Amino acid sequence: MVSRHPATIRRLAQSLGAVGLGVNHSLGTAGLQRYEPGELKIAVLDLDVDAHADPAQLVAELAAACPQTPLVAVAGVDAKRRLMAALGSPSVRHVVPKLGGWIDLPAEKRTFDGPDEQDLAIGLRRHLHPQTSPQGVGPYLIEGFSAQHATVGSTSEKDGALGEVMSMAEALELSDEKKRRIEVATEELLLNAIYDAPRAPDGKPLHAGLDRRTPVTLDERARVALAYGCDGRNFVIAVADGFGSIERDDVVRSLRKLLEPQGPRPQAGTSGAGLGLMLTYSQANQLIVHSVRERFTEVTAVVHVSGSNRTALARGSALHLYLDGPAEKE
Amino acid sequence: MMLKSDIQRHDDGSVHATLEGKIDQYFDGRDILQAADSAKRVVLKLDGVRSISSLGVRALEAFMKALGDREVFLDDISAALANQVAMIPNLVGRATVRSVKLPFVCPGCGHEGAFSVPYQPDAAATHAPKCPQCGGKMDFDGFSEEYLPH
Repeated sequence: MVSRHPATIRRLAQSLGAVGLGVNHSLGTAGLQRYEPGELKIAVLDLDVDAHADPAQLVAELAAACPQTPLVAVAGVDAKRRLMAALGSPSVRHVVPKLGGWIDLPAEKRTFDGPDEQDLAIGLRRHLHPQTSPQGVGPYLIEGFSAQHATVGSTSEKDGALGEVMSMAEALELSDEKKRRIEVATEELLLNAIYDAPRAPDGKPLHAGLDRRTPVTLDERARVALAYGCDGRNFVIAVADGFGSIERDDVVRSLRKLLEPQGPRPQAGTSGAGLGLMLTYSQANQLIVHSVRERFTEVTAVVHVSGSNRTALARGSALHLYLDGPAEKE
Repeated sequence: MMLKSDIQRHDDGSVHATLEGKIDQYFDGRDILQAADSAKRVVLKLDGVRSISSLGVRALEAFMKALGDREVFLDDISAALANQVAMIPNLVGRATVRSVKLPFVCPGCGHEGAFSVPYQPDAAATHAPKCPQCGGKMDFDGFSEEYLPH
């Protein structure tokens, strides 16, 4: 762990301890001890060790000290921009904002608290115990909490499933803004799974060029699994397809649209606007992408619903990547 | 709920439309464009727009472009739309956003509601509403960066 802020160190250490990992701590990336590949389970970098440094440079220095080690990047200062920059390195599998750090507050209002230790521990546990099947919403709800499931085989079934999700949100009397974020995340994940994921046997996209107003009926293999549930703290939506066609570069490119100076531009034409994953990420507090090539992709959105809208927004958006395939090979 | 629109032509020749529901791939605003055929000014009241999808972003952008050189004012844009405009400033083209309806919560009695404030950077603080239940000053339940120009 590389960090020099006590509150961050405490939260990170609690997360690592919760998954049974000891901590080798350093205050900065300069002069780091060298490790052999495989010697460390994971390396955690607090980008706030030098808020003026290029995040890519900090990541490169840590990656050089512990080659082939997956990295977690956390940040509180200018977190959105600096975490997106850190994602440029394929070693970075998790980007996690510190609590209260997502909105770029003036220097006098900044704090150097750490990320939510409970959420990070879940992300680390999944990293240490990789699964080869979709996990649904279970990991993000209180253990044993029930979830709802639906299978979506057409665009009309998508509308029905979205309605069911929103009925639950309505019944929970969530605020309009929380309901909106849940609706955006659910619909965008379902649209991606219906229109972007399906592949022909030769690997070519089946529906990606279709006008999104064109109704689609999916064959058996292409049917989409939706799971959702709410334990009072999180509202979680997981959408899985049976293709495993998502690429790390596509995820990163999509999320980086958030930083485009005049805002992201929707693609011209009638196919997807190319904004779906970015919108989902911007509305969720955690986005989890789990994929095994040619088997499945599961994208999970976690929306924090406990407390005010402001509290949820201040938590920012973490990203966890569990990608098994050529795209993640170093 | 599909997007519903209520369109009225005023004596001064301007067209006033109220939109309610979700903006998605099916939105084209054709009924408003037809009503505004010879109008020089269009006023859209948008506090009923509860959500906008990625495909709705493109549809709305195309609609705003189709309004051309008309003078376009957007009143009481919803938090859903304000959040998208904060992320995608070009979304509303040359239109002038005059006001936005944002979520506020009363720290005294806990009452929550959406209230209209001017569309300007610090409006959530400088124009914070009074609680309709207890009269206390309400707090903005969000961050200006996420809903207002900055």
